[in-house]
Amino acid sequence: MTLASETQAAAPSKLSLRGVEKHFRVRRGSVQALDNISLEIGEGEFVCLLGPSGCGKSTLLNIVAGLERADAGQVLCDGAPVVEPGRDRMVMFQESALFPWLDVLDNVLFSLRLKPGLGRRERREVAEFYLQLVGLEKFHHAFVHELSGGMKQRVALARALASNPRVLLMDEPFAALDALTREQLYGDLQRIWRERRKTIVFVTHNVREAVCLGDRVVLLSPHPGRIQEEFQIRLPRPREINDVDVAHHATLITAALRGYGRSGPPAPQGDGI
Amino acid sequence: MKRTLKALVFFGVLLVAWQALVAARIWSPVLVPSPASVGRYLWEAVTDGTLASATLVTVQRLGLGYVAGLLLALPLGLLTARFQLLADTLGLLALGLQALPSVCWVPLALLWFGQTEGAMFFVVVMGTLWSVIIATDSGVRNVPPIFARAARTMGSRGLHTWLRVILPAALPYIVGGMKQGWAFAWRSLMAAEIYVTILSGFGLGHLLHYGRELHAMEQVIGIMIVLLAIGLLADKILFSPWERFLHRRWGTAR
Ligand SMILES: Nc1ncnc2c1ncn2[C@@H]1O[C@H](COP(=O)(O)OP(=O)(O)O)[C@@H](O)[C@H]1O
Ligand SMILES: [Mg+2]
Repeated sequence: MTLASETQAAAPSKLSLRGVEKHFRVRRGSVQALDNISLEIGEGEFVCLLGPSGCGKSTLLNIVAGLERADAGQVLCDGAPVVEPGRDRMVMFQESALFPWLDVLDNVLFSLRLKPGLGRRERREVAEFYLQLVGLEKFHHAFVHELSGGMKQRVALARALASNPRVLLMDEPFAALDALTREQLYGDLQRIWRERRKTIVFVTHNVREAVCLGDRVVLLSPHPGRIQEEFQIRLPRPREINDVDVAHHATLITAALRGYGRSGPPAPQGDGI
Repeated sequence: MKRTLKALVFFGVLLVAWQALVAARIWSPVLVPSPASVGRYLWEAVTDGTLASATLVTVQRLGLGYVAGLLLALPLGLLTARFQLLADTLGLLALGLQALPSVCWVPLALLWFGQTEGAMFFVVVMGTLWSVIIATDSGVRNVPPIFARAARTMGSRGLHTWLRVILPAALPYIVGGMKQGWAFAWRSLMAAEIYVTILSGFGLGHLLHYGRELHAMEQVIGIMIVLLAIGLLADKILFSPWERFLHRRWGTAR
């Protein structure tokens, strides 16, 4: 155990997952999606959950969000058990989940209207601030279907940020985007994370993406979902997906994956698993 | 503008063809009156006020029953979508009755309400109700669950979620159902008005009926033209704005 991990373990955690388990009932019996997941995530930390699809990443994120209940174990946020969704933990999904009947500004205002103690003008100012932050100040009155995939995810990010949560939960938010758009968003997300000082849990099946974004990469293996290994990524920021160091770390993690691949998860290919 | 012009030209050509057919004297003018005689009838009906009052009576019956049907059907559709028990009972009933030609309500309405406005109201409500329940129900069931989940993370709960998320998300279906309900209500009301005389008000259906009784074909055709115009107007005034809204927001081609 290194000195760093020792001091980190002692620090109070923003999110604390303790022995989380989840089963799903299926047609014949049940499948175990998560097995004894324990994880401490510090305030302001950027943690990536990495694993092949079907290993329970979304399930885990939904439990942290309070959208689903764990069968065993618990999730603490600031020491209090998570029992339902809360504005302190906002979620971004792979599909933007923007509302097509509202324009861009109203989509961002949706979460603000539910936040008590804000006047009309304040809400509008806040919404405009976050749309500017994600670079969409010129698209207030565009409708969802008029936006590209990348712009949709930017609006979703602005909507999630607008109610000023301490924790941002992101479930493969960039998986459906083209490489160029993704690169831009990696840069923007790192900038926003630093400026707005959020705690981010980011789910992905892309090794490079995890290395590029995370302070720490938590590797999950499937059937049932377990934590296999953790990697600290100590690279200077902002990082880019094509940095040599990022590629190097990604290779290491991929190799680690192959190492236990014979007994556990399927062998990875390329930079995806 | 160009589209309006094209429509005008089309109807103009139709009128000319009609006139040509009459002039050819293939059928007796008693059966196929000239456009001019129909125009004369309509002009008289407009000037002596019968058309206006009949239209008012019919549109009022339709509007009243339709709105009542909607107000009843929307919450019922939401409820059947929300509670499986209601879906298995009321939902099933709605599915069956929706397929029933709405004219079939007329005899029942007469027996229950007699020759009264109540009978007319009942017929229109029954025409509207079932298809709007079905449409609302399937609209809600087809809302992507991710919308409600996203709303929940933003602090939306219960009634707020239903009114601000589920209902608007189901709107494309609901508008489709409203349109169908309208068509059913309109047809069954016409059937009812042609079928029974109600002394509290003569609607367009009655004018049509008396046209037949008097062998006044120009009246029959004149009223049919009015009915056609009302159908078109209703579509343009009631539904086009909704459809434009849906088209603009959802980006769906309709
Ligand atoms: N609602 C559900 N019902 C049944 N099985 C589910 C459900 N949600 C997820 N699962 C199962 O749980 C496992 C983990 O799913 P998920 O969390 O979506 O994985 P990931 O996000 O890593 O791809 C999978 O085997 C999946 O089939
Ligand atoms: Mg997933």
